[in-house]
Amino acid sequence: MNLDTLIFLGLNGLTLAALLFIMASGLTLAFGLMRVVNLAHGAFYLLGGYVGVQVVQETDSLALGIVTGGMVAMAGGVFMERLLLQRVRGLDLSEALLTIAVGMIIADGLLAVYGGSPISLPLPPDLRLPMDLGVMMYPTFRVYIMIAALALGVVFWLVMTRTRIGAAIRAGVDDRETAMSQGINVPLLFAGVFGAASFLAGVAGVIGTSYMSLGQGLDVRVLMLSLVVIIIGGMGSLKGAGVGALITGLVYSFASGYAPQFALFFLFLPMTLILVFRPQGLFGRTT
Amino acid sequence: MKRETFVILGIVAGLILWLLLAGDYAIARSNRAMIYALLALSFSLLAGRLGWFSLCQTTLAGVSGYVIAILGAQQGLPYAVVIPAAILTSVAFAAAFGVLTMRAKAVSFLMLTLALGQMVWALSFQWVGLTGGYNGISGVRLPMVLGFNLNDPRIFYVMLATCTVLIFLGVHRLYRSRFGLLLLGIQENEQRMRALGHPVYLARFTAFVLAGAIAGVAGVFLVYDMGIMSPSPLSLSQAVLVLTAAVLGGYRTIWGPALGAVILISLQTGVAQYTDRHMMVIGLVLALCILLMPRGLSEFPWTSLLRGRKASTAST
Repeated sequence: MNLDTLIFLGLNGLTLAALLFIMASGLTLAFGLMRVVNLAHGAFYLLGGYVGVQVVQETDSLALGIVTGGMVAMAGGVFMERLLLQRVRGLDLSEALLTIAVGMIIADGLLAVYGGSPISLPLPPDLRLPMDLGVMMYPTFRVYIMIAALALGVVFWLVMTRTRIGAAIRAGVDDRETAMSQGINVPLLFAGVFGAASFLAGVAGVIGTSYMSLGQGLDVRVLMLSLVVIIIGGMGSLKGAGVGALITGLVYSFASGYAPQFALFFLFLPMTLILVFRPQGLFGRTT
Repeated sequence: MKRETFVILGIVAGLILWLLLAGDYAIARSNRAMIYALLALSFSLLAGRLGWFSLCQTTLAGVSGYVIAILGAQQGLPYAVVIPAAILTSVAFAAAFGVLTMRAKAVSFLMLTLALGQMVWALSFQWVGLTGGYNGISGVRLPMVLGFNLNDPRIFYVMLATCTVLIFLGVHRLYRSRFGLLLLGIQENEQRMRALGHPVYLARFTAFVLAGAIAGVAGVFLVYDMGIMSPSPLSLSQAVLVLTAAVLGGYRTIWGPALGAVILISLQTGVAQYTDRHMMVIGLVLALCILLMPRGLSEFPWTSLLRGRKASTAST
């Protein structure tokens, strides 16, 4: 083993962990608030990614692409929540199955529009160059992804602990009925969280394309990784999403580097251990 | 004679009549429909009795298919070894998955089976040395027996139909047995069943392994029907196809899964002539089912619809 490879794989793992945190944080909050697991999250990643990358290709503006990708995914999420999920509110399984159906339709529609060939993100030259991190050179844009995820974590933490909205969300997660009787509009709050989560999925789709190229089947892989993250971390817990993303990202990266055929098997290992010894996840609560 | 005997005789007569009347292509599609009916039955056994919606039944079938392809087509082991080995592998996977998912509730069970199933799917195309990756393993064939080519769609139809009818009958008996009632009881009120002294976890585990065995049998037929084993039967879209068949037909009845599979495979066959977007069609069917008739066709309140009353909204 040489040290450079080790550091490089570590940094790749952190990049993946950053992307997974951006994906899983919204997913886990929505689950905590309304017990709805959005299985179309991977499809929203793909939707935001395709649309965002197309905008970048046509306007040469990365920022515009990221925002557009996020907005399109958010529109999808809000539409799904308002038009479909509301009709079966309270029936957890029906809601989950509806999100699967929507995910299938979106992914198949994207395949029809954009075709099956892989697409990567055209980055401006200054972001494409490697940056000197002291220990080694690493692509600048990936460093920015890690910084963005950290910033998102801090923002989430501030919103959750310091603002009224955060307090309302925490109250809703803890005890939905009591929160509602205190005058907190949990369904509206949920629509907001759901929209924000979808926005983040779309953003992750655009910036993640610099790491994994967009293609058929990526929605399911991304969804699976996000689910592993929140199963490890505990459903409904932001801290869990962070720790779960770190474990998943690093394990996946090192395993892909040293035993590419079994990368997923090694991912399976921590998840299995946690399910056996702590079924509610590292930071999850037993209900 | 009892009513049940009449129904069974009617179904057998119908299957024989279809064999005599239908063309080769229709028979080939019927074979596929019966395989999916078995998969949907495996799904419904868990969904209807325990309220567990599994997205890994196709994975269990795929595992059995890979065992057939690797041991049979690549290593050339005898059929008498390969086929039991395939079903046993499915059972072993089901047992392992069963232990991991034992304590999960409805939605977390769905998530867990999705994650577990998709891991095996990803492994199936990453582990190229064993599975042949995306290209898969081809040349999976049944032998000639007493001058009959078992790969002939019509002969295959006879074998498959026999197995399908027998398995459906077995599950029908199971639903009416004490064990079947215990499963329903667990879905209804787990605490009460435990307080009454029933082995709740053991019963659930047994049901999961049984469903895995049915999926394993379906996998054996699937791989011989396709003649090639690739990762695609393990993909999420296949799991959703099976789920949609069960939800469309009605996963709480015995004949619902068969009805759903037949409708869905016919629909897919029809749609394939016009467009490649059959997954979109499946997604639409699933969404409409959940919004309009969550208990499926077999439990849709047809009679109250005819009387003009408002259909009672059923819950999943």
